[in-house]
Amino acid sequence: PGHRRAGSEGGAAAAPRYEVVVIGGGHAGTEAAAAAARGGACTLLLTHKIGTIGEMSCNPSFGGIGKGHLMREVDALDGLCGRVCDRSGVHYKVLNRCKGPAVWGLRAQIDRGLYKENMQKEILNTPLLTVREASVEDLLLTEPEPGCPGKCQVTGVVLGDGSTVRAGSVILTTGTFLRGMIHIGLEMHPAGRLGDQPAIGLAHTLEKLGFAVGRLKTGTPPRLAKDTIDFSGLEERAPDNPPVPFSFLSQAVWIKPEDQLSCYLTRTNLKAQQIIRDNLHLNNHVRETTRGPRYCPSLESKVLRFPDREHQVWLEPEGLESNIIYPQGMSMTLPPELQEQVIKSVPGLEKAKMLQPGYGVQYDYLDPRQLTASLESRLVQRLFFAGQINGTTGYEEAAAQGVIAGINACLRVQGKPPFTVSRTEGYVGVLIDDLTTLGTSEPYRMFTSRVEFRMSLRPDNADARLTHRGFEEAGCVSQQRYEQAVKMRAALADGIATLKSLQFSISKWSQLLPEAPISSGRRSPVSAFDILQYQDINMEILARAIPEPLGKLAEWRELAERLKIEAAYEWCVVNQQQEMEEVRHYEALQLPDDLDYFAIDASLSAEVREKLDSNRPQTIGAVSRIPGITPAAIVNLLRFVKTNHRKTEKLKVVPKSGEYFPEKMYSGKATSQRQTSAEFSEEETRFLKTPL
Amino acid sequence: MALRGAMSAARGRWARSLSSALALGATDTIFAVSSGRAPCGVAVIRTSGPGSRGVLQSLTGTPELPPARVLTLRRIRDPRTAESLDRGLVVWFPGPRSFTGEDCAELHLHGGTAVVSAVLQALGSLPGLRPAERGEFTLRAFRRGKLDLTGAEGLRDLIGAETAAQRRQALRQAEGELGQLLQRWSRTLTQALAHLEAFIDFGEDEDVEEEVLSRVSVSVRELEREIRAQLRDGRRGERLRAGVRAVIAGPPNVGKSSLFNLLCQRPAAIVSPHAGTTRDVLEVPLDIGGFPLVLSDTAGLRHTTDPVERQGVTRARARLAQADLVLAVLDVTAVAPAALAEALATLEVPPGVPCVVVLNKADLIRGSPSVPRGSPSVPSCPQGPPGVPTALLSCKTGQGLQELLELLEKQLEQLCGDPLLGSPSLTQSRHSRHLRACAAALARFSCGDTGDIGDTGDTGDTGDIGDTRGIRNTGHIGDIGDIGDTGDIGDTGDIGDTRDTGDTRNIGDTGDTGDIGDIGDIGDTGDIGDTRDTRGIRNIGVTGDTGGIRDIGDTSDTRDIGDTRNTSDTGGTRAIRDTGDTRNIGDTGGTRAIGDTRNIGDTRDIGDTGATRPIRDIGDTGATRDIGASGVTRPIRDIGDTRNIGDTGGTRPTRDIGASGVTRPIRDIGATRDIGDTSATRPIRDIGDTRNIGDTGATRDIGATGVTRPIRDIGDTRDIGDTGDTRDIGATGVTRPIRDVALAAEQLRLARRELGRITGHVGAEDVLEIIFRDFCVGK
Repeated sequence: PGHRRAGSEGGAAAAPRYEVVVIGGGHAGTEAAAAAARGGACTLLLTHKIGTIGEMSCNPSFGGIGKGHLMREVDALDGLCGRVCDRSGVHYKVLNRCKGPAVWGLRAQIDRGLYKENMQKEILNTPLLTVREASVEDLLLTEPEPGCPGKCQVTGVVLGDGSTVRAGSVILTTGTFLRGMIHIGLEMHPAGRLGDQPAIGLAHTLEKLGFAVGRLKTGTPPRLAKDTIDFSGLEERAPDNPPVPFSFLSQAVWIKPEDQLSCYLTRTNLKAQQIIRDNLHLNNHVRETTRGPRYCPSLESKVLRFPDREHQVWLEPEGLESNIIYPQGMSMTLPPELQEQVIKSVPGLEKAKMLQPGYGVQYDYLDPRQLTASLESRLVQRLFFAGQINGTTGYEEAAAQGVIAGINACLRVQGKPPFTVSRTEGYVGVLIDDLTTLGTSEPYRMFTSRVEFRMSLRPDNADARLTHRGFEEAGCVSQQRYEQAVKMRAALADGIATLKSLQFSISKWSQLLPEAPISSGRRSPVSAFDILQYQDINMEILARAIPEPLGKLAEWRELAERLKIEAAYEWCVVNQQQEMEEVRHYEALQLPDDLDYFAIDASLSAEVREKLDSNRPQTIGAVSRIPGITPAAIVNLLRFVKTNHRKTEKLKVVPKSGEYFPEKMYSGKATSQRQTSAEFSEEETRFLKTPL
Repeated sequence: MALRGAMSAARGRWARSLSSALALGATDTIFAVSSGRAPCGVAVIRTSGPGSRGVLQSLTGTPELPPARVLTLRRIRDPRTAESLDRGLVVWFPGPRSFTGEDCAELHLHGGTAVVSAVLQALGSLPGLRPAERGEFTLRAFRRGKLDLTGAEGLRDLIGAETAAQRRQALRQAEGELGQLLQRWSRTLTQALAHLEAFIDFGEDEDVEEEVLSRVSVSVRELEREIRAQLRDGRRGERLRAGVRAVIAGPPNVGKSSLFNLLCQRPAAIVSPHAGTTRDVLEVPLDIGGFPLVLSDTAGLRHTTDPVERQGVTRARARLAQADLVLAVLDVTAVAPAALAEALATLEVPPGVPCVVVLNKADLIRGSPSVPRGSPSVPSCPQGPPGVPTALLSCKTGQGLQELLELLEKQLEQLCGDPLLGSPSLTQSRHSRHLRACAAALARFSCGDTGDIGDTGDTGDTGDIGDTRGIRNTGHIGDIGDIGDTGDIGDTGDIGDTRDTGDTRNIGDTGDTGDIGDIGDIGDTGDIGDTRDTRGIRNIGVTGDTGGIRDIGDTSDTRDIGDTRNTSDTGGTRAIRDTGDTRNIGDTGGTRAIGDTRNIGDTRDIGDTGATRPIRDIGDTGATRDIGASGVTRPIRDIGDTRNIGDTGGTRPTRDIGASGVTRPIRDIGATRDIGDTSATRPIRDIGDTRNIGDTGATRDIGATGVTRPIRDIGDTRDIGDTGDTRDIGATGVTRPIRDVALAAEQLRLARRELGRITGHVGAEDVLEIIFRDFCVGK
């Protein structure tokens, strides 16, 4: 009752009220709004223009290495981007195909128009979700809820026309629009994206509230006219056949392989380097000290840091019908006429027409260390942040945060405990933990190397890791998806049990699988699961040899593939279990929110105290990942917290002796007065033996 | 008493001073006497912590601090009463340039009991000060990053060093040499890991070339080689640290205890003219030429019915089995020169353990008519068996002691190595344990085709080893401690010392296993399924107490089994060669077709061999005696003409090999000249493309042959020079591509962690920093 749909609010007398209000319609905002609505919250999405919902502001592609992992996790929580990509792509390709399934990177070139269209269709048809065009100028605030950190709580937003909307929680996903400033050459003008107004009022509000805000920059390359490019001499990259869909729900993508478009590779040469070098004085963006993305470097910075070599430029289509080509790797902020010169120096682009110059954007971001793992701000209760505003780069990083913020904004209104993902559970857990404990000084991009448990957190098993939790704890997963995940989980367990129960001698296996190089000689029986670990064996081959009972398993293509991956990584996953438990253990060791690091009596240097104070780690696990924090500091902090907060039962002792520490080492004659030996506590020992 | 008073005072203060420390946001300050126990000439009291400044100020009664790190003479006063306690030297070490990294102070006092206790009491009365806990100074230094774990261990060893060589080794370690070596390795690994990660995260469309992978492979293989070399130091560092275990052994009444007393320069052991006086094992630590020696005197080795003496003999045997060095004492008057080797053999010195023969009672020879009086060296003195250093000694007169000591020193030098030469030693078993784990992870990286890991599956509890499954084609496994349940072990080269092998079940196909070191206490090895394919197990060292090995299928080509005791129930064994001392082989069930059994040292007490099926082709069985009740021994035939092949030197081998009957097909070895010692040339088969072996006289040069197939197929490579080389053959030959880079990177992570466990250095790896420094990546 009281939930109103779009357009039904109006009179100044009664401000409309929503359970969740999301500001921004980009990749974080759409996912956040949809997730909150799926979770059952009456949700309002506020955006400058409904027509720009789902806009891909930069590259015309989704996914990649690490990013594809995030998309699978978003999808496992019933998020939108995976599904929408399966209906909008024009070139699907899995990266890292030959480097192991743990690091496969699902990726696709996306038709911008189609993506926007499909995303808007999803958003506008999501039950409980209302969309309204409006700018947000301020937040409505009130006294904080007692007993929780925060100096006030948000109760709604003030719109550009002065009207207000009341809200249970508010999610800010304003991307680069906070005091956004576009740079082309020496020119600059305020804008969030070329042609779109920046958000100034909100930036002031956040500043007034005392949020620590930093400045980042990023850039985008010029756009080229496809019909002016000579592709004939360039290296072509064809899409995969068959294409692999992003979503667990998709059986296939919408487009046939033969209808897909190719990408082309060309390279810059020294001519481009010369032009850039000669014109540095015309390039404000590059000269300034604001941290740019190392992961998304401009051509200028590549040329300056790695001179005298060629740099890759990928020519990517922007859509099926589009005449626009996105030259990935050519991000520039030179004045437009010089950009044209650089473009024409590149093979294949000699006659290319520049449709739009590249430009740099500088924008405010919020120091994400002011957020909890549920993405709620510590300063203002019920205010959540997601996406590029938190210092990340990339659609997928934004979408992943959006889902988590949406879920938690909804749970907050419902009075339920927050939904957080551990580093041991998903890339999104690593992403948010890195952001909220370490902060970032450059746009944060997901990499598989940031993930400690890469062997376990794979694209193939995101549903097994997150869908159940999403359904049971967050309520953001549809019944259909949940049932599908349950079915797959059962089938995997059955399949593995069946494979393990099929045991034959090696000689028998050699007879059964004459084509496979099974090493002879082993006499004890070997299970089919063991055999499946061989590089050259797959379920199809096994099923051909043993149709009963394996035939059925092999017929289900997705199951067969997943069984193969499970077999290949079983050893590593089992091996990582203990380590994962350690991480979970430390993640479970909560630090009190109100700890005054400058006052506590623990052996910590002033420098460490400062770091702890500015990072405000929530767990001992988070402490261990703050750079510059020594193991000793962790141990000392652990000791302090243990003795001072034992009553809280937050710190549990795990019975495990530290075999790696030579406890007798301190038997020297340094002192003789006290016989108490200065052994390390067991937590301490665990830190010593486990480099985190 | 005074001390205790100071302590309780300090404790009370400590509790009270908490609040002030809290306000300071600082840690407490510790103090302790750092020199020897009073009374003594000078006593040094150290403090560490933020209160050290205050200590100097209040004890010297002036706010003026002495200049940093300079000894200054000051009057020491009790801050409470201003009473003068002593006049002494004080030093001020402001942190971080101090031992602990904190502010430190030292008070050099007169070492009287009263002076020291008065100053300690005074210190305890100061706010924020408390007596240090044991080892707390070092602990603080560790926590402040002033030294790593190995450095701390080195420091403790330095304090505990009793001999010059120990001191040198400990000093090197305390100065951080081992830590630096490990850190260098760790950096190499981080670099390799970062490049691998770059290849994973950026490789495909972001300008990281495939060749990164091969560069990483090369550096990882190089690192693995370096670590393996370090591990092959034969426990030198550990031995030097703990002392070389030397055992005096010999028949009864040859003067073992006299030698013992002579070496430790006091009558530690009872000596009598009666044989069997010594029953228990006596032990004394000695310093010989700067090397530490733990010398044991043992009961004379003989068969006896006296239960007490028999116990003594058992203990002597046990001690012998663990010896690093054996002093075999023989009565020079009782052994004919020609029979020396035989006499030595009866002592059953474990194979591979260096031995010094001491021919005692030289004074009696001198008295004998055949030797001219006063002759410095006795011409008729029998030289020991070839290759075994021998000393002629008279315990009675001390004649020959100097020569013996020099001989021992030489042996010790070899056993302990020169602690100043080469890379720093591994002084703790935990060092080698983690290093082995590190090397194992690197081997898994290098083995490339990680698909093969699969083919051994089926491992339950892998215990300490953690990863025995999938050990395929592994060169040199070092020392292995505590093997839990082991699944399938593939091809294994050089297994080092293995301790406490738990339940080993289903060792499937063990492929080629070379040079297994000492194996102690194999628990209950039930059902070693079918080891028929165990090819070429060589040099099994001392195997103690093999529990019940049942059903060893067919261990063809098992050679050089050292000292195997209590092996019961062995099934069919073929081709056992060079079985050192095999005792108490219980019920060998159906031992059939013992192929080419040669040089079975001293086989006795082969209890009940039951139905020994035709033993054929026994080569040179050496001294086989007491094959007691061997039941039905069927005809032994075809003892080939293998005996003299042993030393064919360097010529015409092909024909002679032919005569040996048992030599399996040797195919395609290019030039067969100069095969050298062909007695040991056991099955060289399937050396794939051996065209280029060329001159096999220098068998070590095989290492240089270009195209060689995987080691596996070389069969038995024992006598092709050092097997160390064979690993490199595999490596230089066909390198299989890494198929799952993510798995390979995981191995590097594991390896890095093991190194970190040795030094205690942990911390987040900054792989990304390296990636962005070394590669132009990003879109």
